[in-house]
Amino acid sequence: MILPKFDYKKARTIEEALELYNKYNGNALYLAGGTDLVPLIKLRLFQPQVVIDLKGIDGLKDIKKVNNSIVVGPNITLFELKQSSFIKDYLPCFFESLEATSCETLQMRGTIGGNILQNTRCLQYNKSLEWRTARGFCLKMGGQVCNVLPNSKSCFSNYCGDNAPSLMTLDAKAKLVSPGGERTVRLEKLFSKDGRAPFNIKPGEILKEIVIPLKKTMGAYEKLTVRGS
Amino acid sequence: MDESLKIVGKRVIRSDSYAKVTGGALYTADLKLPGMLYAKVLRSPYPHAKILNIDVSKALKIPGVKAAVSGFDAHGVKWGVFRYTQDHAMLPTDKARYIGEDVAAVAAIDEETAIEALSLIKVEYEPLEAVFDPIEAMKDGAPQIHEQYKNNINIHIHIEVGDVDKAMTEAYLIREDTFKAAGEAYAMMEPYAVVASYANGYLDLWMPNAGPHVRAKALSNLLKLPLNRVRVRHINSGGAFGGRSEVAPGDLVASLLSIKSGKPVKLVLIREENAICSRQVHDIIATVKTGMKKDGTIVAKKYKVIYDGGAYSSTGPIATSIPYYVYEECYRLPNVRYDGYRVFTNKGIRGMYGCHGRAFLAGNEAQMDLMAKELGIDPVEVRLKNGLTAGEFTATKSKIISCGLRDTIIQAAEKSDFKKKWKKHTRNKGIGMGCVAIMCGFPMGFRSGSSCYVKINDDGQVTLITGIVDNGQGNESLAVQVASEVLGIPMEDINLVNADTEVTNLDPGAYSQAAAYVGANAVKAACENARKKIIAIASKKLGVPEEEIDLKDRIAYSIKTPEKRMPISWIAREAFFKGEPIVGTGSFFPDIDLEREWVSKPEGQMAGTYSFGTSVAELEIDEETGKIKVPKFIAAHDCGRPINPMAVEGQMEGSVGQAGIATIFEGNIWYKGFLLNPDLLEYKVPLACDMPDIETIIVSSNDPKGPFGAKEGGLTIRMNAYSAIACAFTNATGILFEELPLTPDNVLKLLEKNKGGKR
Repeated sequence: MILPKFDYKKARTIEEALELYNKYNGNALYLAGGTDLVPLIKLRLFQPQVVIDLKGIDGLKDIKKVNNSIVVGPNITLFELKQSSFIKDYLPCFFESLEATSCETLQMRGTIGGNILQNTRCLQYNKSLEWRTARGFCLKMGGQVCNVLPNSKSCFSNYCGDNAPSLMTLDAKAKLVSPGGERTVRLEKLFSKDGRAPFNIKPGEILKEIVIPLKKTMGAYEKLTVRGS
Repeated sequence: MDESLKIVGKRVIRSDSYAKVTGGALYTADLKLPGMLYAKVLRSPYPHAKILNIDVSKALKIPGVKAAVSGFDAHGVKWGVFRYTQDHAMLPTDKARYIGEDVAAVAAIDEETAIEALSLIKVEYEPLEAVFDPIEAMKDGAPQIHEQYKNNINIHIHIEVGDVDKAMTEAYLIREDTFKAAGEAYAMMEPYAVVASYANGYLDLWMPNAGPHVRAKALSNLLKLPLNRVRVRHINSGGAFGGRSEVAPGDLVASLLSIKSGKPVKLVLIREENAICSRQVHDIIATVKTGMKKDGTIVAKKYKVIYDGGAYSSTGPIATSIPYYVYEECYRLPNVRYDGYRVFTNKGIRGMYGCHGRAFLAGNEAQMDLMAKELGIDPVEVRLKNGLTAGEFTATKSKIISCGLRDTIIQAAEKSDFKKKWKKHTRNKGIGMGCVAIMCGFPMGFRSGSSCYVKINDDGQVTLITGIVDNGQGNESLAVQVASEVLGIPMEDINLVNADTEVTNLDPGAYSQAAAYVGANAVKAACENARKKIIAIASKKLGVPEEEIDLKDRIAYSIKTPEKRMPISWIAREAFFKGEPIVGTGSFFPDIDLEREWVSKPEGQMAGTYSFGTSVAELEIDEETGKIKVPKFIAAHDCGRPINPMAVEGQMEGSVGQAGIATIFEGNIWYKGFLLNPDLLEYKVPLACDMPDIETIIVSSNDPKGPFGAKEGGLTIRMNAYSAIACAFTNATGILFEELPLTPDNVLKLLEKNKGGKR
C-alpha cells in the first residue's frame, strides 16, 4: 500500500520542530522510528499535512547519568538500549521488556520514545480505509459506536507497548516540551485511559527525556504471546 | 536402488536458488513495460447487494486516468472449472456476493491517480440480506446467493461403499464426534499481482500461477478471444499452496483495462486484498462416525462434512472430495458413506489448499486413537492394522501401485520412541501420530498428462521446454535434474523454458502434486529420445555398438573402452551437418480412469500412484495459559525415489510449519462478512522461533512407473502434520479437540469443559 501525499520536514532542534508544528497549524505528526506511525498513515488512519522527523535532533539520542537518575533520550533505538550494560545490570525488568518487543529487526528501527507513545490497536481499527468504510467508523475513528461492543461508550482498543509497563515499575518519569514550556510527569500520568486518544499530551508536545531513578533494581518482564515473537 | 545414477537422488543445489537468494529473481510486481499503467480495484462494501448501476464516467475525467471498467464492459461470460459450476463472472453485473468483491477498476499513469479515481466511481447498490454461517445458509428461507443452487448447496458429494448401516450394527465399538476448523489464509509471501499487455489483437499476461494453460483457457472464454491470442507467460511465483490454481478476478480486470487503454496494465494487491479478495481456505465442520472391530479393524465410516465455500464455486467439487480421498488412499475402509456439502455463504471465495481438510483428517485420526486406546491398542498398531499396502484397492476402487506407508509408520515410531512415550506420558505432555496418502495428480481430463520437447544446441548445451510449473517447491530444478541424468549433461548447461502457453504444451500444473510423477516423466521420455539419437551418432563415429555407449559429463564414451570418447557438442554439430538436429519429444499420461467424475461417478482409478507419510509430534500444554508448545516433530514421507532429497526435506520442513504448527496458531477470524485478520500481524503464521526441532525421514518405495521411481515429494506431511498435533493433544489430555486452531483460549475452554473427567 502506498503512502498518501504529505510534506516531510526534518527538524534539527526541538524548537524547530515546535515551530514547524505551529506553521502547519497542528496538522502535523512527529516521526521517530516510524514502525508504528508509517503503517497508520498507510492505512489512512492519519492523513497529516506534514510529518516532522525528530531523528535529526541532537540530544534526543543520549543516555546519561544525571544526579540520581538515568536519563534516556527518546530517539535511542530499542536495540541500542539493549546493548547498555547499565540497563541489563540495574534495570533487568526494563531489559527484558526491550527484549520482548517485537523482533530484532524492528528493535533496530523503533525508538523508546515511539514505543512508549505508540497508538492503541484494535482488530476493527487497524485496517484500510476501504475496510473501515464498509464496516462503519468506530469511536476511535470519530464514529458513534464501538465496533467490538456495539453498546459500549468506551473504546476497547489495546495498548500493546511492552516498555511502558516495565518503566512504570521503575518509577520512570517523562519530560515533555511544548511551546508553553517543559513539564515532567510520572509515566503513568501520560496515559488517559481512553483508547480513542490514549495519551495526556498537549498539542505539539514532544517527549524529551525518560528519567529513571538510578538504583539497582530487581524485576522481570514476561509476555504471554501466541507466537514466540 | 540403482547405484549407477549420477545426478538423480543427489543433494544438488536447486537451479533456481542462486537468483532467489541474491534477489536477482524477478516477480510480477517487479515488471515494468514501456507506457505501463497502474490499476486499482473498487470493491463491494456489502456482503450481499444487488448492483443497480455502475457509473465510471467521472473517474475517466481525472487527468492521468486512461481506462475504467466494470462487469458491463466484459462479455457476460461466467467461468467455472466444471461445466456445472459456471457461476463466476469475476466482475459481477447482477449482485455483489461478498465484502471485497471486485466491482469496477481503473488504470492510470500512477497509483495515486488510480486511488483518487476509484473514489469517483459511482455504484448504486440495493443491499440484500446476507448469510455467513453454512448451517444457516442450508436452511429453507435463507438468502439465496446463486439462483441455481437450492439451499445454497453448491456441491454435494455422495460416496457409498458397501453396507454402512449393517456394518455399524455389527461393530464392537462405535463413536461419533464433530470436529470444526477455521479456514486458514494462504499467506503467500508474494501478494497477488498481474501484468496484462494487449497489442495488435494479442494479450500477454504475467502473474504467479499454478497452471498457465488453465488460466489462458479461462481468460480466452471470459474475453471471447481465441486461445492462441491469450498468452500466459512464465514468471517467478512467491508461493501458491493451492490458492493460485484458477483464473483470478484481477486477471480479467487487468486484461480489460489493457484492452481498453491499449497499454500494459499492472495490478498489485495489497496484503489485506490478498487475504480478502483472492482465495481463502474452507472452514469445515466434520462429523465422523466410526465402527471398529474388537481387534481395532475399521469396519465402517459414516461422514457428514460441511465446507463453507464462500461466494463462488471455485474448485468446489475437488475441495469437497479431497479430504476424504486422501484418507481412503491411506486406510482400508470396507464400508463408507461420505456426504460432503460445499455451501455458499457471503464470504470470500474458498479454494483448494495444500493443507486442506484439517478438521476432517485430524478428527479421523484423533478419534481412531481414542477408540483404539479403549480396545487396548496403541496408535502405531491401529495404523499398521488398517493401513493399505501395495496391490490393494481404495474404497472407491483405485489401485495402490507402490506403498511405503508401513515403513513411514515404523521408522517415525522408532525414531521418536513413540510407543514408550505414548504409554508413559506425563500430565499435559503428549505424543501423537498422523498418517495420510496423496494422489500424484488429480484426474483432470485431457489436461492430466504432460509433454516435453528438448533440443541439443550446437555448443552441446540443452534447451528443455516443458509445461511444468514451479511455485517455489523446486519443480523447475526437478525437470533440469532429470534431464541432466538422462543426457549426461550438467544441470548448469540446461536452459529451461517452461510454463508459457504459447511455447509449452498442456500440463496439469503445480496444484495436484503431478509435477514429479507426470511432468518429470514426460521430461525423462523426451530426453531418452534425444539420448537415443546422440548415442546412434556416437556409435557410428566411435565404432562402438550403441548398447556399449554411455553419456556423462558432456561426453559420450564406450563403457568397455573409455578412451573411445567424444564430446556431446561434436555429436550435436554432426547432427546439424546431417540436417537432423538432435531434438526429442516425450509425453506421459497417467494410468487413470477417465470416466471417473467428482460428483457423478466417484469411482475408478484416481491417480497414477500415491505417496504416503507419517508425522509424529510431541507437545506440551501450559495448563494455566492454555498455550501449546511443540518441541519435537518427526516427519516420514514415502516419495518413491527422491530426485533431490534436499528439496524433499525442504518441502517436509515447510509442511511442519504450515500444517503442523499452524494447528496452534492459524485461523481466519470473522465478524459477519468482515475478515478481522487479513494482515500478517493478527494472522499468526509460525515464525522461525516457533518451529520445533524437526527430523525428516525419506522412505523410498521406488514407484514402478515414476521417473527413476519418484512420486510427489512432501505433501503428505502437509496433510497429516495437524493430525499428529491433534493426536498428541488427545494423548496429553485424554480428550478430543473440538475446534482448530488450538489457540490458548480454545485449549482452556476444552480443559475447563472436561474438568474432573478422565484426564
